Amino acid sequence: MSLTILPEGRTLAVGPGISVLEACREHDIDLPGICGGRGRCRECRVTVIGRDAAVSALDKALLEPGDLSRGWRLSCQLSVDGDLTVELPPVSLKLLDPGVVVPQLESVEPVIRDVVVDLPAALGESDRPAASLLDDALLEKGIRVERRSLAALRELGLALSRRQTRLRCLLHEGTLLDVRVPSSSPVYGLAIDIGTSTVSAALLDLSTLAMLSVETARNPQGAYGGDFMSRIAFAMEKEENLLELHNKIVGGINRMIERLVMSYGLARNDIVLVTVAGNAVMHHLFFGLDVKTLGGFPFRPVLNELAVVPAAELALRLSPATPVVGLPLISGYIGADTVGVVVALDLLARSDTVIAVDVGTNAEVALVHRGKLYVCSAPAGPAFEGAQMACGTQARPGAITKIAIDDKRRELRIATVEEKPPFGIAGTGIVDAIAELARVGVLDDSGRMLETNDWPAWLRERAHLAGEMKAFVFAHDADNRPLYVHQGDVRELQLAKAATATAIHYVMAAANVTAAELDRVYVAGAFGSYLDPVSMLRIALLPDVPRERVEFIGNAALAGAVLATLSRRHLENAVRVAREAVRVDMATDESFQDVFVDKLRLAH
Amino acid sequence: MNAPAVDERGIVLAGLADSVWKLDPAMATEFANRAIAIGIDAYDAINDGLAKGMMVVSGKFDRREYFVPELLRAAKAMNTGIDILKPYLRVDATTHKGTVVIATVKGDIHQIGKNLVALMLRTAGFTVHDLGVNCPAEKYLAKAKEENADIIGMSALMTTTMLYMETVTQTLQQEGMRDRIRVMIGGAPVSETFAKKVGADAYASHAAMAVEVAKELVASRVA
Repeated sequence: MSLTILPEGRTLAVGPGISVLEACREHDIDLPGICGGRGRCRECRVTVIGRDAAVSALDKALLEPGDLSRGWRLSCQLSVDGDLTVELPPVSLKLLDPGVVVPQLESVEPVIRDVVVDLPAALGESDRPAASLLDDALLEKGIRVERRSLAALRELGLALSRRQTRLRCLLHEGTLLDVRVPSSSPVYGLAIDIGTSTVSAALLDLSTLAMLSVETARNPQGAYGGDFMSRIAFAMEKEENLLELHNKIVGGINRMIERLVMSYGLARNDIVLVTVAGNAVMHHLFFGLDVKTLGGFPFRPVLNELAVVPAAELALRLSPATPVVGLPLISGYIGADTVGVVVALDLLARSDTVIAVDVGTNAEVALVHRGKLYVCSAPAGPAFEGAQMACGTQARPGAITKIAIDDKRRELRIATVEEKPPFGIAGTGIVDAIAELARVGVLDDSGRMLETNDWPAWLRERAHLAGEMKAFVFAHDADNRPLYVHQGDVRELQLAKAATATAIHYVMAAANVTAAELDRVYVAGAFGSYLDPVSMLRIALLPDVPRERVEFIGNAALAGAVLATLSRRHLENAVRVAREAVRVDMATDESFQDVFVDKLRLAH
Repeated sequence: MNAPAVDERGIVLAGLADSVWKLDPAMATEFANRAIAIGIDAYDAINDGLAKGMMVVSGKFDRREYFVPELLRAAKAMNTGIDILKPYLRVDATTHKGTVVIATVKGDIHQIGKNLVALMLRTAGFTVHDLGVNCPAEKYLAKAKEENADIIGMSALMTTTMLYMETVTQTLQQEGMRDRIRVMIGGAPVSETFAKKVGADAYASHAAMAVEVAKELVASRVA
């Protein structure tokens, strides 16, 4: 049987009983699957073209009748029972602006040593091996060689046979990576942040310390579930699945390397160092380490130290000996991404009191006070990404990302991705929506939607009943269906924001710091940059600080990886962070429930 | 004093019900005392008063008009009323609905949902043994045996830990206890379908609903 995928137009041969989602996974076609094919979201829906397809019970439950008649089906429920053509939902990879903050580095002690040495011009009749001669020459420069890559030895031999005695040597720690004819041509490093939904890679010129480009792509594991717990659940089913997830991410990163190498005209062996940040689960899956024990209490990782592995062991398409450095984890649930954020902000070196909050499916919080670092993390769920909301969507073209209610002009303003006609509301839009509804008095502080008669009169026509739940309509889509936020959506968002605010509460309590003492509140995460700080403060997602103290720092985990690729001090900092951070445990605290319930409120 | 007794009774029962959904312990106290003063049977005051109010709460929770904090406050109001009425319950009019052993499954340390269910069940007259979080199968079984429990209630908040529910039902089976004990489950990632898959008897989507489900399970066990 054949399955044709539009708009790409690829045709796949598919066995019977295979779902469209499974077929896409198998052929590396990115299709979002927030719930991992468990039939609990509708992100993986496709449009069946040119024929009828059976409607499953879940299609009926999750899609509107109008959508069903347009041919929408959940790809996880749709099996290929004959030749089939489907169209994928519109995708935007521009959805995440990396917005990397990298401080200007003027001079650094580099991670990669790039030195030129001269071997004695007259080697004469000596039978001393070339490698040993080179060792001596490097030792004179204060560099002790402990290991040599095969590539370096091969080049060394060839160079000497060409009577080339002036050699450029590239070293990582004690490992001689490469030997080449001296030239000014740069060598490159790659810093990668493996996010649960998005992977970002920065190409760095190691000689000039410049960041040349940032490539982003959807994490190809997305089809196995939007949150990392569903990836673990998939890996738990059978052992081969771990390898499948590992191969997916390595494949995805190889494709990014391919694109960078092509667009910058590099040779693969010009990339001499790779540094990887990511949460504990993404880190383990990238290295192919078992993730089962990360799926539950006590969240034991296989490894939390700095990992250094040759590219060949990971099947990364680079020179085989190229070191791939995995930044250390703080624990099984506070990952190398948090370490990256702390490194990027140089928190260990700061004397003021600052907190960094990574807003996303997993909230990570780091606070530094009097030179001491406190960290905490909390699962917030996918609400901030718009998942499991009635009209929620990822930030694709046409997704509403900003909402403002102007009471003076009696106007409701929305902004959509790429200014396309609205078709759904992204997580950021829902945060705005709830902050605005609370401000104008449609919601009370507890999150309850008031009786329509108690709303401002000019907004009452926007009342809607979604099933049994009260709702507020913000816009209509192209088919004139209302796009709304209903009472249940408000509650989902409250849960996510309470989880985040509770983690913040606990690090502040551990450090004995009040909101007034916070000099800065940094919001990290690719998602964070789209959030309106005023909305975040209004719904008490962030501590009660003046607006000016809130600063967005974009993908700071990537920025940390960038710095750890360029500078030894920053890399050593990463190791220190992982060792010295005080892990704040909140789930087992006696007052946890009271704090959490308090943080559900949409006010400070 | 001349008002017909039947009206007074109706007003007090309605007041008890209202105190629960209005989340008002002071009001519950006032009407529980009035119920005793005018000789309303304590059992009726709970069942036709307070419990009716909790059903209103349940409906509001279904529509998400009420949420976790309101559920906690409603239970507090109801328990305030019950505490006043309890000494007046006639012994034969027992309010005991059944015995439940409840916990969050092994590997999972989420507690709030489970705590809410335990609270609601207690409020509704069940005897509840809460084994906390991260609970292994053996612990569920030992407690269920010891207390001759009617129901085992399991909670999980993660897709990775919910799989453990099947371990518990299988262990029940192996120990030959499955026929005697009903199993209900809940938590964000689980569903009706999942309950069937892991061999549980029922699923409840939220705490107020859990009470109804538990009542049905006990009835089915007796039958």
